[in-house]
Amino acid sequence: MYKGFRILVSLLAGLVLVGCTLTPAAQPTTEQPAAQPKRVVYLINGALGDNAFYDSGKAGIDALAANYGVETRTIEANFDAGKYEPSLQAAVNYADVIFVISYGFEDQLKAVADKNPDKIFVNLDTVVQNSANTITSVDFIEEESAYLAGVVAGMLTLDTSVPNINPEKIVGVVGGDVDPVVNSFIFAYENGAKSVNPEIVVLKKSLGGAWDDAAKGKQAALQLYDQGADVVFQVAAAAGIGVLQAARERNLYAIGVDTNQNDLEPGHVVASDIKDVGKAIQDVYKSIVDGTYQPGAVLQYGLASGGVDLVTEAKVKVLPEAIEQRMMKLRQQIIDGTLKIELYDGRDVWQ
Amino acid sequence: MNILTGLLNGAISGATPILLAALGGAFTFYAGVFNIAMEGMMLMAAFCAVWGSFAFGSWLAGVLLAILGALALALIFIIFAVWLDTDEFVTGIALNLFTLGATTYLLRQSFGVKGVFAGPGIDPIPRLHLPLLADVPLLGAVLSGQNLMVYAAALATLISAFLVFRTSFGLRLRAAGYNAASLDSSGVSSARMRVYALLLCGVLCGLAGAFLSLGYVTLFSENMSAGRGWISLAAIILVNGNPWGVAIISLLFGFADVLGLLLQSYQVPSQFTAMTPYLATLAALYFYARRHRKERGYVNR
Repeated sequence: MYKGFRILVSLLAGLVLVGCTLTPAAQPTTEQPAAQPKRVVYLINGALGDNAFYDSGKAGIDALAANYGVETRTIEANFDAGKYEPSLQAAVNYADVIFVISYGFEDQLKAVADKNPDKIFVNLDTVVQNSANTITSVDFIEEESAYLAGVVAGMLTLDTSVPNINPEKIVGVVGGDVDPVVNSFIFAYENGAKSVNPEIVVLKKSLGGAWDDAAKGKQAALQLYDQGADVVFQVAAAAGIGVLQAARERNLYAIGVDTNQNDLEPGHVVASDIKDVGKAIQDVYKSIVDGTYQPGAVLQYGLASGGVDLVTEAKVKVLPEAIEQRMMKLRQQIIDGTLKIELYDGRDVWQ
Repeated sequence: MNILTGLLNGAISGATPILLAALGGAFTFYAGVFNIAMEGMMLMAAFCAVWGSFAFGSWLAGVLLAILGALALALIFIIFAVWLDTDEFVTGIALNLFTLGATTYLLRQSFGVKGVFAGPGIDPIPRLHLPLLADVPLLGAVLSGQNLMVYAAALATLISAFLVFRTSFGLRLRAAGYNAASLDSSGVSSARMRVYALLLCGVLCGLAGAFLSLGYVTLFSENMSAGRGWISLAAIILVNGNPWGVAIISLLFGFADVLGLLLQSYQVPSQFTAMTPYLATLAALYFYARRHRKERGYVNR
């Protein structure tokens, strides 16, 4: 037993010595900048399967693997704070480029990025800046597409020729929680609706963080419809599918979010406000390969770059042509830069 | 639909899954089983309901599969807690956690999606229009046109109250919980009564889950029971399992839930309104405990 232990110790000591002599030799190869990254990690704070935000990013990562032949890996932290930092460490050990969604875990990301200046970090959806300034942030301008959603809702509630639209000038929105991202959606949605007619009232309901409670989402939307709203915009992930079902139950209208949800309840979802994380990932990766990549930059993805959009294609179309044309005109103006959308400034949008 | 009718309908929809699960839990409460597995049974049933409804194109198949799914969990509970005599609380926790993982896994395996499964292929439980009740002024819009499962829940309350208080089965059930040894010595197996109670709980939680995923909404989302099983446990404990009391408490919870959402329209912060169901619990607990204390006071005197 004791002898075995001694052998083990000497073996370990030998390994350490070999390690020490090997490391300096290996150093120069890692310091050379890799023109073409070999491995990419997609690290998300939540889990895949939202049919929306995270999945759209995954589609972008899959496209990278197909187009550039890089090895990719996706790590889901599943909102587990204890899992996030080890995941980040694992990503750094494995990959050259790390696409990361760090909402709620910004400090861990900053610390790891500062320790690993040779790795490329691309933070999606929020702006994170570390002291070494190596993190590039992809910021989506949700306000632009949410504004258009507001315009569609505002014009629809005024158009009483559409079946079941009441004369009251009321539209609604259901948010999953009170947080900066949801607030910016609601802020721009209200601005868009009021740009059609300042008398339009926007009623709001928050689910208080119940992002997975579809029954509660439906209940909130039913109340909005009963209070006179004809169109309800959902910003509530999985719970928001309940909002779309409420629209069918009351025979009224809803606006989807994150992906094209227009065919989920045919004839009741008039438009969807989409966010294309996958496109942003492909764009940034292309810049890394081209050599035009700038560490520490903040990239804005709005309507013009296709990061966000409002889509109205549907199997069963209920949105009148006139409304769609007006929306497309405003959309073009935003893309051209002739119409500037006010960005969310942190004010209380819940009244 | 006007706001008041909408509010009452919302309260009824919100109360139904809690009521069905709580009635199931009431049977086990009377039989002396500390059963916390309603949450898991409801979630499993909600998944099986959507699976059955989608696979066979019929809501009836969905409801049957939901009952079978919840019964399977009840059977596991019986094997562990009744037959092997393990701790009921630990068994319940294990079942709840297992179901959360299992339904998530099965969702990915059977439909290839994560998060939510929704779509026109799922056949919902129909609404029932009662011709006579619909003509009642004011209440017609509430009494008629509810989901079939809402009427089933009302009927289940009636049957449960009858079973527990008016039949020899109910007497034995209560005896199993009150004094198992004396029931055993009178020739009736208390373990068998616990098994019956758990099977009934499985059936009722199956209906609760089926209502959640085929009645309230027509979809399955991960963790969609969202704590309703725990609220049903609170309802049972508040009224010592009495089916009529359970019905009132469930309605109160349902109402507190919709009231919370409605209050947001009157400048009440949403973080505060999210607390209303729990404030209602505390208030109910206070009034119940005060009455209880008074009764005990008379006995002592």
